Amino acid sequence: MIASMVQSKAQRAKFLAFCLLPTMILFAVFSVYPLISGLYYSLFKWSGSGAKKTFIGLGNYARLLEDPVIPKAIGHDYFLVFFKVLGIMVLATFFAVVLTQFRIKESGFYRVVFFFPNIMSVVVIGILWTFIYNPDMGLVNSGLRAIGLDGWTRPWLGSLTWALPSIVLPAVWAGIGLFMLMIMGGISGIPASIFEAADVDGATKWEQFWKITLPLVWAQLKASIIYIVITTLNGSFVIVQIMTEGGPNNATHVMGSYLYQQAFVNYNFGYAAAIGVLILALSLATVLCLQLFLKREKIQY
Amino acid sequence: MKPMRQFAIGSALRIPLLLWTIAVIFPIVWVLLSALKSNAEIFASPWGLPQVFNFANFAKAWSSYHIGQSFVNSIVVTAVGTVLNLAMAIPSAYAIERVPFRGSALLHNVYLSAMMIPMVLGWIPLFFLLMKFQMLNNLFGLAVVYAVSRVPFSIFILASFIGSIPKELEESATMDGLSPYGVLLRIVTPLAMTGIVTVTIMNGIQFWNEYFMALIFMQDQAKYTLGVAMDFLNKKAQYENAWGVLFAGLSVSMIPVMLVYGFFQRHIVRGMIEGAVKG
Amino acid sequence: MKRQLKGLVAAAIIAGLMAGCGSTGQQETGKAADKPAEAAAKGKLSGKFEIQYFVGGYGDKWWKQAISDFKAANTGLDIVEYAGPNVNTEMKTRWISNTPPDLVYIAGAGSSEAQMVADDQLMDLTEWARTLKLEDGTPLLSSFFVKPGEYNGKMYALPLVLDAWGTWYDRSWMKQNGYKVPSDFNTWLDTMKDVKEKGGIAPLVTDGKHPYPLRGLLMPGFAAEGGEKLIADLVDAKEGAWKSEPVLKVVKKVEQMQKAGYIDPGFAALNHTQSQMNFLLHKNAFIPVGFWLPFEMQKDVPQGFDFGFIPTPMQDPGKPFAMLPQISPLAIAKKAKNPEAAKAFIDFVFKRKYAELSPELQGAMLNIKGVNLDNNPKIPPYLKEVNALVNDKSKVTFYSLPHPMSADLEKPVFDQLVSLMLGQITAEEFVQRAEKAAADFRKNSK
Repeated sequence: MIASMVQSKAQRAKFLAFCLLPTMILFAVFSVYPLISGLYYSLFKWSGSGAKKTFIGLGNYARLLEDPVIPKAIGHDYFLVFFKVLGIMVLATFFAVVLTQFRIKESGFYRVVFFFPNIMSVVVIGILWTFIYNPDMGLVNSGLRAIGLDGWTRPWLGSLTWALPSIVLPAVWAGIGLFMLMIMGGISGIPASIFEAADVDGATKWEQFWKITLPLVWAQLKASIIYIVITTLNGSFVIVQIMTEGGPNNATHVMGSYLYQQAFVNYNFGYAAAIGVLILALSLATVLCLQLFLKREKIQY
Repeated sequence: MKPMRQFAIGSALRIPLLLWTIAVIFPIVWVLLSALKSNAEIFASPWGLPQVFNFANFAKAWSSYHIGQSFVNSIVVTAVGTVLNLAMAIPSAYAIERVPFRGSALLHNVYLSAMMIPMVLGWIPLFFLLMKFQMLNNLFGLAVVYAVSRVPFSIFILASFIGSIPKELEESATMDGLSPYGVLLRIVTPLAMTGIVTVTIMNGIQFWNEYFMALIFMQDQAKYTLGVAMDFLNKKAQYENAWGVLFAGLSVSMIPVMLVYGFFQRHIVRGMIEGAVKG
Repeated sequence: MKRQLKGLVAAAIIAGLMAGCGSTGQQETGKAADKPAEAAAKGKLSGKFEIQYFVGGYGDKWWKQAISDFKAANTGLDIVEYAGPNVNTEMKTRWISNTPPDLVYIAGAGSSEAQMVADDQLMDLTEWARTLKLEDGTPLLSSFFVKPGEYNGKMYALPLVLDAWGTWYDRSWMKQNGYKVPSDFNTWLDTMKDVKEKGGIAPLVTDGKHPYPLRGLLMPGFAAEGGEKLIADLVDAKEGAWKSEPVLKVVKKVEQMQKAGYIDPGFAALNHTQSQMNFLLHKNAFIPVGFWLPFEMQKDVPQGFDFGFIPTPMQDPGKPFAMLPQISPLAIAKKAKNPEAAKAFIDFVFKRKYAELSPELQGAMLNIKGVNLDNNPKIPPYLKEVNALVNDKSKVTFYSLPHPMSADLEKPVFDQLVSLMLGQITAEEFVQRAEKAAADFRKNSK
């Protein structure tokens, strides 16, 4: 690299230090240190609300293995991951393709509107959807009654069976806009000549989608999927916390909301830290698996 | 393809688009309408139009709950947080991507894997840390925490943008006598502008909407950000049954962001789209 | 150029940090009145005095009144209040960092007396509390409805507000429809049957997100069946207590209500205000919650609604109602900077005067016996009636918990109760699972 040739070693080191050090220091202090302390606390019995801590070694981890809520919560996490990925990717891809490949005059309008939920706070989304699902006055049940499907009404968020699926919908609702834009970006990066050539060859839009669009936006799809997986495993607890607090009878607890409950409601911060370590391990393992699973030869054009 | 058929396809495709538009707009409109209703009306006809337009809820949200103050606080935290984040992420992303040094790949991976760590784990230790630095109950303290928490994400996106800038531009700038600092500021930063816009928007949305950390770190009402104020209103509404006020608060927190987004959407969408091409 | 840029970025970083350090966050609203020497010598109170109190359904009028009176009596004090529905979360950090407020009212979400004691955050009040007296000289401790929680023979918090739990109904609506007010479990079943058949509604609703049905429905039943001994064993998770015969008997009663369709199937989706709202709208006939209901919902009470209150009738015929109040106590931080002021405040408010004001200002009774409410026209009739009821030993027996149930036990038991009330598990399964939860609790609290 030219830059390095012109500069002296010392100058280069100075420049590197300038670029990297302040960030590294701040990152170490405000991110790495708290996280490592968090891990360290997982070895203690500590309420998190007082000064008293007792070292118990791996006691909290032993408790993890016996806690009946943990396997449930892990199952719920992957339920959410799976249906969020499925729902968001299918709908976002569909909308992206429609808005880029077909001449829709008002596509700009949809592009703006579909992004709205992304700029809303999760707090707002959670409150809003809790009302939508309200068993008496909620939109869902009122709607069902209005069209004569009284038998289909349920106390959505209060049902052991339906509470978790009911949370998927707002999560998908809130996520589509962003990923639609990302996929649209991917599609707009495909040279128009490829589609023109396909048109000339008589390929239908459907064939073009499978043969051209999908392979060429694979990078974006993969990045989106991984992003959804990570944010779901680490962040979906906020909406759970606001909508159901993990209930009824833990039917909607995910690892994050269970961690929150243990740390800030039940005063078991040490145990919560151990749950955090488990989340970390699961996230890393999941992303690694995904990387392998989603590996696909990059297509050049 | 025949025009008739194309027309038919176009109409068929519009159905899901319109349905989704309704799914998005309807709840938002509902919040706005509910904000104009009295409590009794919300419970009596939750999905009907308000009988009279009653702005008392807004007045109450504004005066009794300091929504205005929270609004300003959120703007300060978001602005400081995003700028600070860029100040940290741009030079690092550049160095990692373009200046070869031992451990560059390692550093990149460290930042990448940090994206997967649940922040919740660090909240309590962070609290003690901020307390030691006298940065508790302090908007700038919160902004610093926000900015640092999104450094991995910003580096991840910016590195790919910077990686796509032709090296020749840097080289010729160096030939012209520009120092590496000059290259970073004058050449790289402007050329990575769409990337910078992208991360700024994504971070801005996060900071604007974050609420758990703000809840823990901010202690008096004058320091609340909008997310905390909304949660506070929600709790308050449960105890006082003041749902109309809650919806007024929610409206106040949503509308400005939507207006800003509507205004800048061209740039934002372009940034996002170009970001996707590189990302 | 080089220097400029470096300066720019560095400045941005430093500016953020400096700004962070510059304006320190701690409350500096108080003028921190420096102690006048002579005032201190006379024993007058001075300095900063910090009070943390949760504001929920009862509002804050009583607090405002008490604090302003106290302030008027102690002009040397600089009183700082931390209050609101989120105050426990907001102040949590002050407690962890060992810089707590002086006085705390332990109530509402995110607060736990037992936990604060376990964390050694509260001052031992055992000796001092014995010296407290009411206006007429009666010792305070013997005037309590509910005894203070005891931890190895020590008390750390004095119960202030009596959250008497019981079951509410609309007196006039019941009369209109010819429903009888129940006096024990059997008559309750009869009335619920009536309500279900004639009114076509599920008679009973409750909060399904927080352990209210456990506190308002099960616990009074346990108390009636097994007395304070059973209650204490359950709270302390004694081996076998949760699957004991009396527990199963009470749980069977809940199962019976569920099977008969008397429990609103939507309850698990509702928080306490929503369930209370449904009750007010006559979507249900009974709701077992605390005293706060009429006060909390005062803006939404429909015309003609007439609150009636009975202790939850889970007892067999012939037995007195069992009442098991939850209490919200006042406590002093062990690390209080101004413990004298905190003590003075406690002494100040634990008086008949403030006990008489409480029903008027916050719709709640204080934990003080023998308060005469009859002469105050501002007090709603249901409260006078309740006051008379709770002071009548032949109708109602009071039971005290040795201390509040730990969230680590209450939450998993409540979770199973939700399943039971949704009809997903049987009473036998419930007691097995509750016993398992108690075993886990014993193990983890070691």
